[in-house]
Amino acid sequence: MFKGGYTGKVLRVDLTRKTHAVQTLDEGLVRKLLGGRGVAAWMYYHEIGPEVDPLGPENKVFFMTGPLTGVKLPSTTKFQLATKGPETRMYLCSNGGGDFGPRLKQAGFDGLVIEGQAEDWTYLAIRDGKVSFGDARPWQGLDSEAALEKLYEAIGEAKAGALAIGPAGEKRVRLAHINVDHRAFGRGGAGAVLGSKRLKGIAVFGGGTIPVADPQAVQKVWKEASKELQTSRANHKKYGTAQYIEVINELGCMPTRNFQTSYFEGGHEVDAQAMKSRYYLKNFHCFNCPVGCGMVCEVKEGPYAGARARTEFETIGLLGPNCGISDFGAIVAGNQLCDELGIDTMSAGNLVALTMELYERGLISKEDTAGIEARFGNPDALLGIIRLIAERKAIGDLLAEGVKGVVEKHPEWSPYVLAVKGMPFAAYDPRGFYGNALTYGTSNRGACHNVGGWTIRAELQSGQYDRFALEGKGKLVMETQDNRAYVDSLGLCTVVRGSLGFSNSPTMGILNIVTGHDFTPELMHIGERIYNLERLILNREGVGRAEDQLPERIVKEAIPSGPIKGQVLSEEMYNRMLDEYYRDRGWDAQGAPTPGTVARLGIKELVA
Amino acid sequence: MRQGGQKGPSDGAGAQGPGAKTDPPAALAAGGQGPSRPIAPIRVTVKYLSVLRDQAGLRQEVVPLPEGSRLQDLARRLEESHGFVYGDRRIMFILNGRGWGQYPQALKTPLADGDTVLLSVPVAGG
Repeated sequence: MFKGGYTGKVLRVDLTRKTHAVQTLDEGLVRKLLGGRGVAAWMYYHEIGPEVDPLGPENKVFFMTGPLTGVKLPSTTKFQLATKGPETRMYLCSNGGGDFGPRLKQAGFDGLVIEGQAEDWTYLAIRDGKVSFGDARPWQGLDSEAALEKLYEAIGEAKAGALAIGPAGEKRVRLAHINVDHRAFGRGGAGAVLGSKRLKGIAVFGGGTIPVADPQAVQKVWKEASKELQTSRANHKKYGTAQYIEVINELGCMPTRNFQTSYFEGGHEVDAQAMKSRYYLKNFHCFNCPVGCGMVCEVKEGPYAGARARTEFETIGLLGPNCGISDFGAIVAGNQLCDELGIDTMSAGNLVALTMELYERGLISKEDTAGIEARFGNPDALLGIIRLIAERKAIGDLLAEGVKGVVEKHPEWSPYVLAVKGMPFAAYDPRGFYGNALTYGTSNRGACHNVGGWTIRAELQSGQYDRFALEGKGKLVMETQDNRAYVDSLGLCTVVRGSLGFSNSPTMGILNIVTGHDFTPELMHIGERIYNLERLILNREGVGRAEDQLPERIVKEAIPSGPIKGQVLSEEMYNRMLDEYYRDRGWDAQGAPTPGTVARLGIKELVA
Repeated sequence: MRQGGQKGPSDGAGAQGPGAKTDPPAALAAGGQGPSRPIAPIRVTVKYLSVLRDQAGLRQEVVPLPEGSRLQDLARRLEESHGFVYGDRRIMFILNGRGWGQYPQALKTPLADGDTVLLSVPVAGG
C-alpha cells in the first residue's frame, strides 16, 4: 500500500437501515484514478444506473478525498462528491472546500458513501471510526449556517468539520447546495439529494494524523510554498476573485441582463475596488490556506445594512450584471440569502435573470411573481425571486425544478434559457471566447467553467490560440479539462495548484513525497482517463452530440453592445470546434469514446 | 482592419474582431497604403484594470504617440510612466481585446489612432 496520503478505507452509511460498514480502497484503483473525482466517478459508474431517480432512495452520494486532502501543504482543503444530479438529471461531480474533507481523513476514511433514505430527519456524527445517527427533527427548517452550528455543537470538538443543507435542500429544490464549513458543494443540486434522504447534515472529527511518505520533504515544501504564495497570490489576498470583474467586463465577456449583451455599464459599481472600499470586512481562509482569497463583505448602510456574505466573482457576475444589478449591497444580501436558504448562487442568478426577461417581455406577470416587479436592475426583485425559488412559492416552484423543468413545462421559453444539459452558464459569455463555448458544451456536468476547462487566459496570452479562432480549441479545451480532472482528484484548491507544480506538464513531484508513488509523469493521462470514464457514464445516461449543443441565444444572436459588439458564434462555427474536439479526444461523431480510446486509457478493465 | 487590411492575429473564421469600433479604415492605419495618412499624433486609450489601477493611480488615460508608433513605443512609455514592464508575467497587455503576443508582429505591431489598450492582472478561472 502507499506510504502516505491515503487511509485505504471508505465508510458506507445506509440511512434506511441505520447501519454502516467499512470497505477497503483498492490500491490498483487508486493508481489509475488517484482519488477524489476519479474514484467517486468509478463508484458512480458501478452503482448508479441510468434509471436512478436523483431524488429517489436508490441514489447515493459518494464523497471522496484525494491523496493531498488534509496533508500539511497549502490549501489541501478539497474533496469531491459524485451523485445523480437533480438539476441536470445526470451524473454530477462537485468540488467542495472547508474542513470536512481533512477531518474525514483524520477520522480514518478516504471516502464516505451515503445510501438509502432515513425515515425521518437525521444527522450523522462521525468520530474517528465511530458513526452515530442523531435526531435532526428539531433542526428542520434551520438555515444552513445555523444547521452547521448545531452540528459543531453536537460533535463538541473545536477542530471538527460539518456539512449541512438549508430549507431549500429540505424542499428538494433542484439547485440546492450543501454548505461545507461555510464553503459549498454549489452546483447541480446535491443539497436536494441529501434533502430527499432526510439527512440534514454530517459532523466529523478525527484525532488521527495523516501519514506522508517523506515528512521532512513535505515540511520543506509547506514552508517554501506558503512563502511563495504570499507573493504570487497577493492579488487574491487583496481582492479575491472579484479582481476579475472589471477585466472580464472590459473584455466584453460579462453576462448582462440574462446574456442579452456582454458589457455591463455599471461595472465600476460592482468591481473589486468598489467591494473593497465599501463592503470588505475580512479575509476568509480555508483549511491550511496561506492565501485567504475569500472576501467576507458586510453592508454597512442602506436597505441591506447588516447583510454579510463571502462574495466571489461568479456570484457577483450572475447576481449582479446578469440581473442588471449595480447595487453591490444587494448582491451581498442576495448571496447571503442563497447561502442561508441553501441554493447555488450561480444557478440562482441565471434563474432570476430568466424571470426578469420573461417579465419584461410580458410572458409572465405579477400574478406569477407574487407581486414582485421583476425588472432588470431591481434589487428587491433579486432578493424576492431568490426567496420564491428557495421556498417554492409562486413561479419559484417551477424555477425550483431547474431550467430543465422550466423548459419541459414551457418549451416556448427556451430562447431565454442559457444552459447546457440543464446546467446554467457561469459568468462568462461564450461569444467572447470561443474556447469557452466549447468548455460549456463539453463539460461533463453541463455548462461549467471549471469541469469544462477554463481557457480564457490561454486564449488571451498564449500566442497560440486567438480568442475568436476556431482551430486549435479542441486540444486546448481537452487538455484544460484533463488537468482539472486530475487536480480535482488530488484534494487541492486550484488557486494554489500552479505553485505546487500541478500544471499541464506536472513538475515538483509533490505526490511522490506524500504517497511514495511516482504519479507525476502520469497525471495528465490519469486526468484524461477520468474525463473519458465520466463521458461513458454520460453516454449511458443518453448524453451525446445533441446534448453538447449551445443554447439558442448564443448561436443565433450577435452581441449588441460593448467592446465586442457584433460578435457572433454560429451553430456551424461551434460544430466545427466540436468536431475537432471529438477527434482530439478519440470520440466518434456522436461524442462517444471509441473502443480504441477506451482501451488506450485502460478504462476497459475499470468498467468490467 | 489592422495592418493595411489584414485580419487580426488569426483568422476568426469570418468573425468580427473585438474593437472593430475603434479599428481605423485601412487607408488610415499605420503602415497602410492609402492616399491620405493621419497628420495628428496617434491617441491610444490605456485602461488600468483591477489591481493595476491601484498601482497606476488612475483608471485610464489617453497616451499620445507620434505617427508610425508601434506597441514597443507604447511599452517604453508605460514602463517609464508607471513601471509596467512588458513581459512581466503578473501583467496582461491587451490591444483591442487581444493579447499583444497574439499579434503576428508582437511588439512591432503598428498602433492606430483610437486603439484601446488594457493592462490587467492575469485572469484565472475557478
